[in-house]
Amino acid sequence: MWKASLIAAAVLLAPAAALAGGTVVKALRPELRTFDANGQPTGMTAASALKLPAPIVAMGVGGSVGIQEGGKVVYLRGLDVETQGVNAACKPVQSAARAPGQSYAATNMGLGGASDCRPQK
Amino acid sequence: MLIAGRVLKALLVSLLLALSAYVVAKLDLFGLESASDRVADQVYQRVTAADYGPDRRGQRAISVVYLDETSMQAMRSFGWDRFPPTYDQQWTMLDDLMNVGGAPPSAIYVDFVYTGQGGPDPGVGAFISGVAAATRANQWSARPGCLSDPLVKIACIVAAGGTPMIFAKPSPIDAPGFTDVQRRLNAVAVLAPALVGEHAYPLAIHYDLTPTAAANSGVSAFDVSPAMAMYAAWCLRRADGCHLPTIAGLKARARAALAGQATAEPTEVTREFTAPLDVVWGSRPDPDYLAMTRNVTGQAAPCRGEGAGWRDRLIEQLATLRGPGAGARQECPYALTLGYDRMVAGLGLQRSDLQRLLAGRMVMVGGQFRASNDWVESPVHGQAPGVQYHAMALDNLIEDGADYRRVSGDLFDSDLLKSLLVAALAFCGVMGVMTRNTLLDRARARGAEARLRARTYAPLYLLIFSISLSVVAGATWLGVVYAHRAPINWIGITIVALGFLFYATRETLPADIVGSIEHLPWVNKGLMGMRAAKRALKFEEDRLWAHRSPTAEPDRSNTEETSRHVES
Repeated sequence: MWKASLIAAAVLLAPAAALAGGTVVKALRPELRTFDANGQPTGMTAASALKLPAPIVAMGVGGSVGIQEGGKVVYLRGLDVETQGVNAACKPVQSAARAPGQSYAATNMGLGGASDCRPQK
Repeated sequence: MLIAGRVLKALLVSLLLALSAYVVAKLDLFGLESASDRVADQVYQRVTAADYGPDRRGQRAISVVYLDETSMQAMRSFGWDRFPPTYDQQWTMLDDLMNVGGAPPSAIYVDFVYTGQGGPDPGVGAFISGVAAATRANQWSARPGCLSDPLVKIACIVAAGGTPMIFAKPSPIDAPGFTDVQRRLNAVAVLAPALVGEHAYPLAIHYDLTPTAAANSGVSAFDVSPAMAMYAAWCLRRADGCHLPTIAGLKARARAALAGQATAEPTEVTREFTAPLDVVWGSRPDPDYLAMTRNVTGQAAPCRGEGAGWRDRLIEQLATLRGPGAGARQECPYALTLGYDRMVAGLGLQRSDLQRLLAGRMVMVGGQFRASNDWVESPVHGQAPGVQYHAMALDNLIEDGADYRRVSGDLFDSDLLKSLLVAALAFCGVMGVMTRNTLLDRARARGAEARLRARTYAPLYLLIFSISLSVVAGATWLGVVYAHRAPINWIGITIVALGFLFYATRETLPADIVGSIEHLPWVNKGLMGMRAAKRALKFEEDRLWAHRSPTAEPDRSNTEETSRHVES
């Protein structure tokens, strides 16, 4: 049973881990919000509790960065940590998520949203 | 005596025309006059947009952080699984803006109207207490001197070392009374009317409310618009106080109020800020925005770059682009603009980018939801979100201070100016035509009529028409640059002036032009053909003439002479 769970976890994490890369080098807030792989909030963790620098082992939905902490993967917002070696490929908005239209937001926000970015392998 | 009589006649004609123009402007039939005024303003702005803010003072101070449908979708990845987000989530956003730049912003404006929770939302307490901590409300909220008006409240927040947070509220006229959340928010922050649907951007807003109604709506003496509130915060942080006596007074009053010494008298908003702002839209993209886009996407921003100067833009508006640019010509946002979801994900953004966006900046937070009605028609950018409108208004104030571009509304208003201009142009036009007739009389007496036509009339007409156009252009430019007024209706005045000139010279101008070239054989042939065509097309008029006077065929050779005497 235990082996089966391990295999299942490995299978689930493998695609995300394949996208991962880089390192979390610094926490930017004294307390950090944590999430699961699907983006659901799991609470807060103290920055002092994290052993940094830590390799990024997985990328969560929406671009959260997963690091190994206490035997499990903890997902953090990119906003709360300083990373190195995470290269994102982002498209300008006109060729990305938002269809070109007549409105300002549709055609003009060159940076687009997080959904326009994909971490590079 | 003859000259005096002619001048008097020209004066009467021009005043009559000006009076007609004034009446037409005031009647504003079918809204044509005001629509025409707006078009003139918009075209002027499109032509001069690239010349706005050459030193980028406002651009260096203002940032926009937005949420839109795509952002909300992306934020589902961080637990934002409902719309609107919970108060707790929204406080998380504001807390991020306060902290992730390395230093807090100078002030934050939130362009969301909080009316209260639709259901149980335990986060509202955290939201209010978070805002209170940011504004240091514990130091000023119990001081009566800090609550007498919104400007002194902002001054107290700054003096207490807090970050002014300005939240949008509905106008007390549209939605009288505060909800419980608005009342709690008003106790720890500043609320400013959101101004949805406004054409002229007010700065200080005085209402005619009873004391009870004002108290219920949280109006202390007057309201200030979001841009004015942010501008006051910006000036209060500057040592020179933007050289405004009001700001110097506010600083002193805030210090005294925090020490418990102030009276509760409201700030006297100086005359400089009573007239509404005619928001001027710039087109130079923020260099930080362009650099950030290139760093993140590896490509140039998909919008127009630095752009051309006013000459190119004038030609562009005349020839091809008769409106705001679209596609490759779509203007970039003037202020540094970033989606909150992009900040949260952090992918591709450096810490220095967030510092540039937030630390010490005037941060405007707002929605760009396509389904909302919070959009304005920008003459330069096309459809723009309301938060960009507030940001641009703030930029205008930072760039121009008390010399901001005003919307006319006084007794000596734009319509009166336009009418006076029409009178001046008509006077010059009539005098020009009279001069032409005098020259003709003298030339005929000397027998030099033919030479006069070629050598004198062409420059004369050219002078009359070019002076008219130059006077309109000059008056428009002077009004904008030195009187700080919205541009006059230069399109309408040009059309009226040219129409009048063509009418006044409707007989003499063609006669003079043709007379100077009729010795050419092909012109002569053409003239014969035209006369034949004219005869053929005038059969109905001839029939009418025949009924009135069966014997007399009008002598066409005297037409020019007759008209000349009429005009003299």
